[in-house]
Amino acid sequence: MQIKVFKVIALLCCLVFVFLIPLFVTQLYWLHTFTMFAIHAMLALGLWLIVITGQVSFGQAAYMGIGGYASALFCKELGLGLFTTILAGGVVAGLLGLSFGYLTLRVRGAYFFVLSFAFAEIVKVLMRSIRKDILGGPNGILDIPHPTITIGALNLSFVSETGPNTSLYYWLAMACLVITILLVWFITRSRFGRELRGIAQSDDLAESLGINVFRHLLVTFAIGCFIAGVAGAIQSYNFTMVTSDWMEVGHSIDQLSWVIVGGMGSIGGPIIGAFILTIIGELLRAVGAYEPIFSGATLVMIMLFLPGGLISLRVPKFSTLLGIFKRLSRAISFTSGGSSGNRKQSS
Amino acid sequence: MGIVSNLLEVKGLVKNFGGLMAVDNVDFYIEEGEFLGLVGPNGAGKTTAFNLVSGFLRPTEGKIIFNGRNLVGLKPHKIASMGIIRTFQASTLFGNFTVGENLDLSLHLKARQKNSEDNSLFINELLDFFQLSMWKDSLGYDLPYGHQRMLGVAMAMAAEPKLLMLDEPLTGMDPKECMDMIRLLSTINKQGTTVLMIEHHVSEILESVGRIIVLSNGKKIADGLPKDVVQNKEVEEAYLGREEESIA
Repeated sequence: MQIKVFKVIALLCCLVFVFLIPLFVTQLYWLHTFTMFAIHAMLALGLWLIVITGQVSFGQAAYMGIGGYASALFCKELGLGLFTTILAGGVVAGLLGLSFGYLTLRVRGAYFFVLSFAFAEIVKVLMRSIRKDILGGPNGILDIPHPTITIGALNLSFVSETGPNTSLYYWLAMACLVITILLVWFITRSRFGRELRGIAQSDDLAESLGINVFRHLLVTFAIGCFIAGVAGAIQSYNFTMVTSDWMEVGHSIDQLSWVIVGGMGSIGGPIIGAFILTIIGELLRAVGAYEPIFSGATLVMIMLFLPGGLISLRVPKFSTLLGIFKRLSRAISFTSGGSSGNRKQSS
Repeated sequence: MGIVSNLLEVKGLVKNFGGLMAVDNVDFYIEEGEFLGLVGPNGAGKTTAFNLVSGFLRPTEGKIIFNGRNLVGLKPHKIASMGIIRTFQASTLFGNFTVGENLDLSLHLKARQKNSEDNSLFINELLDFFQLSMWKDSLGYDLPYGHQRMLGVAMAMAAEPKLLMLDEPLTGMDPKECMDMIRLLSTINKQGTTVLMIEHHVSEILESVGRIIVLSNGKKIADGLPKDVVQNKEVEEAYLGREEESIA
């Protein structure tokens, strides 16, 4: 019970710390990087939710792009507000995922992997080539206005005279990440989540016990796409644009890398993977075109030497550290006591 | 004497894989409360027949009537929800889950009807019955092989089946484990669950089943009491080969 309370307090402290970051990180570049981490972590969590069912989607970048396009259109064409458009972006991506999943989730493994990639390519090409008057062709939708939100009497604008309000974008992305973590955590801890893990181990056995495997996979896939859509919507506001380049296969590879590097064993894995690779990506900007070599090498090393991902590197528990400290101090006191006794004898 | 109804009726069942006739016009039935053995040599079509009844394969022809309803075309989870629960030869359990979690997951069909306290009590009863209590917190993969098979049956029982279909549950077990399993299955049957069990060797199940059906090359070649089936010339030939083939 005490450990649980301690864990909750520690989590709340972490949360407060994370939300206070804009108050002491003065460099806007790093604040923007942390915002990108939050968006990446959401994408990684959405993909991870699909991965735990035993399916690997190689087209999540398409759902992210669709979320971005949908929210941009709802904002520019219909003039809807920030939260409505973000939610709409997620819903459109989720519905697209539902349609694609309905057609393809009956196949498993490599077949689904290839189909998801092919579908993403189709969506990308369509977004580039149809209704250029609305979707902007290869350039995408530009000049998405910075939003303003009203909380009671308070008007918060995401842009100021000096430029975009990076802190507000950071808080928005972090708030959405926290909601995503809670949603994914709730799903994985529920009976539905346990059934998903069962399906990954043996879908035939799960089906024989009365579990509707197809429906479970479909719902989970749609939720994963919804999360990707929400992440895309936030990114489109943050960049004030959305383009079909976001749907390139490289972005789907990035998302898979975050999940693999972080580890698939628990919800913390994709978050850690997104954090480490986002930071490494920024630090390696100096090497320019060679950056993918370093990222690729990191991925290969992790897969070879740490197949469980970074999350499998367990930090020792507080009680273990305390035990080591006690044993050490006992050994030191015994050694110093023993040696003084020897000195006494010798004298 | 009361009228005993057929729980399952299979009529003219055919399954054709391209040029191979895996199940060839097979008819059989199971009465409520019966313990039926489905035997035959390797490749006889036993598991294919199982897959057809449980919905994992769709028959080329034929009818499968369960409780008056045709099962052809229904998905396996739907058939399971109607009360037909099957086990598999290979994947008997969720290896990365503990024994307790395996049983909890198997309560899927019942979980919505019971509260969590009822579920826990039911799981503990199953653990006691299948002598798995001491393994409750062990991972499925860590169980000795015989216990893994036992857990597979326990999981099927957790779904409270009307018809329990077991695909070679004795495979790989030592003689003592076989005896324990057969004793448990007999008890389950006596408590009211109808059991249909595939077995490769007739001798293993002679004592426990009420009736035996023998398949060979996809065709039903015998259906009757165990003592009659073992004396059946055609069954003997199916297992040992014809005299002229043996000489050749």
